[in-house]
Amino acid sequence: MRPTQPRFAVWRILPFLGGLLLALLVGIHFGAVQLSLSEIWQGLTGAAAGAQIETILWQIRLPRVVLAACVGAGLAVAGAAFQGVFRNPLADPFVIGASSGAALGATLALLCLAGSVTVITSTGQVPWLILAAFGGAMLIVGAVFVIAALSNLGRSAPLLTLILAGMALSSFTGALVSLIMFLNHEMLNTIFNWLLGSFSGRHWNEIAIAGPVILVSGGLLWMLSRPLDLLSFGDETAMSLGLPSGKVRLLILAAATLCTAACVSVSGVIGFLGLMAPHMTRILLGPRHGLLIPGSALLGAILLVIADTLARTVIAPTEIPVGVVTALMGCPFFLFLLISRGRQTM
Amino acid sequence: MKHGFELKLILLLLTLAWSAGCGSQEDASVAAQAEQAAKAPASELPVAPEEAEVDVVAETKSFPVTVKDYQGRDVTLAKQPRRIISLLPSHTETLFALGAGAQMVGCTSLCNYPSETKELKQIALANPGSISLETLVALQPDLIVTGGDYHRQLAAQLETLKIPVLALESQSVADIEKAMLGIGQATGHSQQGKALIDRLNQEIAQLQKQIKPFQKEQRPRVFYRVWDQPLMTAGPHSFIGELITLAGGENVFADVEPAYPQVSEETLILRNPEVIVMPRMKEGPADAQQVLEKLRQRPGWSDLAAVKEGRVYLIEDDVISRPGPRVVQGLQKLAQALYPEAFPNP
Repeated sequence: MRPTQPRFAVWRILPFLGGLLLALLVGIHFGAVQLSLSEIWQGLTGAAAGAQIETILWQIRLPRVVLAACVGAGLAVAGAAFQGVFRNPLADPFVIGASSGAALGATLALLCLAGSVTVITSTGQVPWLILAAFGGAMLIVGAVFVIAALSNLGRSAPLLTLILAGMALSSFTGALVSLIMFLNHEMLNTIFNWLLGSFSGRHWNEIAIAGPVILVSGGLLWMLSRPLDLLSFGDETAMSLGLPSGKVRLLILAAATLCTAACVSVSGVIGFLGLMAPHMTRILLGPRHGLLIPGSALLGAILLVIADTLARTVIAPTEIPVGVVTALMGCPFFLFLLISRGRQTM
Repeated sequence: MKHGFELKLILLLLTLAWSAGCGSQEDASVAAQAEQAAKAPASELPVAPEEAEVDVVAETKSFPVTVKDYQGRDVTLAKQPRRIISLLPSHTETLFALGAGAQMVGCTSLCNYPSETKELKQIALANPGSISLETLVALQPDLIVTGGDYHRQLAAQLETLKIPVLALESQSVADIEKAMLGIGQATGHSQQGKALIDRLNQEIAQLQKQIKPFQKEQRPRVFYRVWDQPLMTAGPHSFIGELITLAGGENVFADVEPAYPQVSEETLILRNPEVIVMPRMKEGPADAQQVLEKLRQRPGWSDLAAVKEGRVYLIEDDVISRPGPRVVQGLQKLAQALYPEAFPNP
């Protein structure tokens, strides 16, 4: 039985698109340096607006805003997929250890590269930090899957094992990162900044690396939205409808993990977004993944662009890590979700 | 904030003018003192006659001595300490500069100057929380010199163990002088303490006299890069911020509150510093030219006046960020970076 949707449902996503355009404009407009709308227009269209303004607009602000949008979309899509696969409303990209693994990889890279920090994000250089974060995420998620497979010989609730193994390894890597921070006092700020998530000093380079991964893995998840719908009815229903649920689930988890790792490797650990954006989208657009996934992507992008704009401007010229802003925005929402969960089912 | 700087500068200039305009009598006595000091070995510095009486009395009575700590509390030492531990590299340098090095038994693992520190017991110091109380007690210290707020908790613990603690801040030139005075009194070297303060002030005044003819109305705008990822600078309330002002520079981030804040790259580009100064880490690149090349590759940075004109300087982090007796070395390097024309033969 194919779940059908009203034909005009697609149009309900248009406000999201409009919202994203507005958020991008807000993100470009506000910053530590005030750019007027005419300056932005001149800068974007190539009319001379002053060398400094052009530098700030093209080399600093635009890449940050675009990267925030990419990461926001990626985390939200991964969150929606994890929630669907685990049939757990609290699942998010943290749950199977991708974020903490990336944090560990990045911390180790920072430790080894301490002397040559300047190199890390220069364009045209090997982006060791990003690669290390990516490697860390894949390593920890791989370990989670191996542990789950080993413990799963008796075929008892595999999803629960995955979540538990993910939580355990997250705590473990968290302790390792804390140990490194404790022993390297002078790097406390850098690592701390990474753990809280930040777009400070990120440029087109990061977008060129993470953007395509997010786009491909996110697109794959969108293509898998029908199986995701079926899986969220439960394994038995899915199997009785002819879905090879084990293989499909693995594919979805792999794509969502890849997406998360790409996001975390360029931004650090940004909390609550993967949880918040899909649930808000579900309330606005309904639970079907064909609409939920693009909707979450757009909403996640909107939220993170706004959060990063706040992080850049609230106490300018000083910056605060964007992860702090998303957590401050996310926690009240999370509590609201807990209170009203009975009303809105997945 | 700006007014504060101007006021400071005016006061400084007034002091200079006053000292220059003062009668030759004083100059003569200073010169005589200096001459005597050059003849006599450091341990028996001659004293000005009017002070001699007081100090002879103090030396004969000598101990017990009561010293004020950074909170204005009295610390009483029954006899001259023979087993001193210093928990701050800057205090360790002060102790040695005062001639109290022979009385020391321990210092932190970060204390690397003078070379005699190698012979002391090195107490591992990643952060105050990781210092082992047992290691401290085992050394049977009769005085532990700590930094103020940084070691507040540790100092309280040591006090319950009946170990004398002298807590002295080390965040500014004024703090350095207070520490020299306090540590001098507590260790039986109050004469050397006063002499050291005089020398420090003379050297700072001398340096400022040297750059004065080259100072223009517009002071060179300086960006001090503490760290790269996240981009961190030294605010006006930090020790380094103070040195920048003393060296005749204007901090481009003179409007930030925290001592070492994370700042926005946009603002940096707009404020367009003429000089960039960085601490030189042990494991980092030794050559400023090398760093300059890397900075050129960073998006947006190649347009900065400092990068264009190649005015990027590395200063050994020990002398620029350690508020101890070697502050003058750091200040001189900074002044050389800001006014190269004032130092024809570096």
